[in-house]
Amino acid sequence: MNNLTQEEKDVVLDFYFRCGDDERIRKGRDLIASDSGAAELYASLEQTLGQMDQVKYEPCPDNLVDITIARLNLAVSAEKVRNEDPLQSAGGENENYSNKVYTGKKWWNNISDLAAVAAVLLAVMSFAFPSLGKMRQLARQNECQSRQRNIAAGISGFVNDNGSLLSSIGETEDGTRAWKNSYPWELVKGGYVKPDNFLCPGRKDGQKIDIPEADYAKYDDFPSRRNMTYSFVVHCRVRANKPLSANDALLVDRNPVFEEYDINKNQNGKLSITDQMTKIMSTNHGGRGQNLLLGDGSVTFMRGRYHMGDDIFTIRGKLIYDLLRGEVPCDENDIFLAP
Amino acid sequence: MLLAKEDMKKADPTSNKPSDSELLDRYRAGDQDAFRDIVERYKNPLYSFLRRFLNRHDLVEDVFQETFLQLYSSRDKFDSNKALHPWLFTIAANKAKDALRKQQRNSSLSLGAIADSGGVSVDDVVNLLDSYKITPDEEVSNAETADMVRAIIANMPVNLRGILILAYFEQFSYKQMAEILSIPIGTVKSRLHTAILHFTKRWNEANRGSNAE
Repeated sequence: MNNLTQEEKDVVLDFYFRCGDDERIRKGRDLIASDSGAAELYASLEQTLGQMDQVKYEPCPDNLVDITIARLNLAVSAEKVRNEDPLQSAGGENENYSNKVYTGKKWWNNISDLAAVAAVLLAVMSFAFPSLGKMRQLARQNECQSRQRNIAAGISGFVNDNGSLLSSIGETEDGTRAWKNSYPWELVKGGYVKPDNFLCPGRKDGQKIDIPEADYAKYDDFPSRRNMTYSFVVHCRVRANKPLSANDALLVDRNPVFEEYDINKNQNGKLSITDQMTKIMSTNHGGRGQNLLLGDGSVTFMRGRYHMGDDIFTIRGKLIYDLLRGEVPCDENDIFLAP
Repeated sequence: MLLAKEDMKKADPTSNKPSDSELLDRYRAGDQDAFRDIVERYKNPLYSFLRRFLNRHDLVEDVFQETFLQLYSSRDKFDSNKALHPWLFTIAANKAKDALRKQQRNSSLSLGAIADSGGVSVDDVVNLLDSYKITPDEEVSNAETADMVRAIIANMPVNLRGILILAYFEQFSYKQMAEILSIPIGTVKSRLHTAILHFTKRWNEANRGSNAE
């Protein structure tokens, strides 16, 4: 086959990969049929590269399509809401958010962000060989994001079936049931989300539900707080029935503020917010930050507590929380995820 | 090869399925079912490409979803006169490379460097194939062969892996591959030659290893 000219070799290769135009493919077919060297080259290629055919074709799993469609639906509904929302379309500080669909957070929007990214890169480079422990942390962080996306898919399914957007776990008539996880539990009861998805893999104290699936309907909440290691959004009453938008915070790794409350200290259900409580991150990922699920189905790992300029773990201006009655934010700009 | 490109290109005269551009036009007009049809139409080739390219389930699933979300957010930029297939793979290839870069930043494990593909000609490919007279090993099962192939592809440098998968499994033209990878056609050819050399050498080494056992 070395007797072939370079052009002839190219033609055979193009024919093998079907990479050339129709004319070239026809030329390759004719050459192989008429020249033993060309036929030998084709056979050699087939003998070697043809082994790749043993890697069988894998069809796409159905659940991946469902999750993808669910995320698309969330993105579509978020965009619709944004386009219809006069507050957002009027511009102001939310203008940047109103012009595009967020499929992932772009964190290099300006020079200061770029400088921050450069600093992070330098820090990463200085740890060229991260420890196994760090790799495990990253794996848990990624798995946590995957579970939150599964919950987003379940929310989308719930919304489609029930014709209503996300209600609020803080929405109650008398305030006594505030913060109960009845809404997330509805996702489990209705079969929209498998209960294990509500367990962050970064926590050791999470427990799988140990009741039979047939008994789920008998419960109106997770049997134990340990069965749900995330915190859901708590809306103010005015905001509760407003449609979902792309940047709405839906769910986050467990709020660390309430882990400071010691039920055995007879505090009468009152929790005083200390300065330290306003700084700590979720314990789900060792206090390094938290995964936050947004209205468009995307998940972002926050290294701070502020989303859209607001601390997601506290109610603005409130220093003592009544945990027995529950607390809700006073207005729709106050983002709060609990308990 | 699994499927000749001519077979893929042939239009089915009995099919009433709408074209990609019709689906996108319908979608732009507000028909959300049209987008589902697009996902259904391309889910298998895209998933298959990503499985071969990334070889990690969690990354594959993330990139698969991100690809269609990007397609959605860029829908107005798409030129209906062009084919959707290469555009979708352009998005997927870029997302997959981003995912690998991100993974590389988070891991001390090598994922295969970018290989230099300059200076490799078709003559080099032919000389190498001529020097290796591979005798098929009847004892090696198809499953073992598949494992060996998967391992070779997974350990290839990212740029060679990408071009080989696009050329062999997806059967894109040089022009399409150049667009997908944003490189000149000359580089596509040179890189493909390098990928063939790489695969052939590793395959030969693996084959000798299995024969020696």
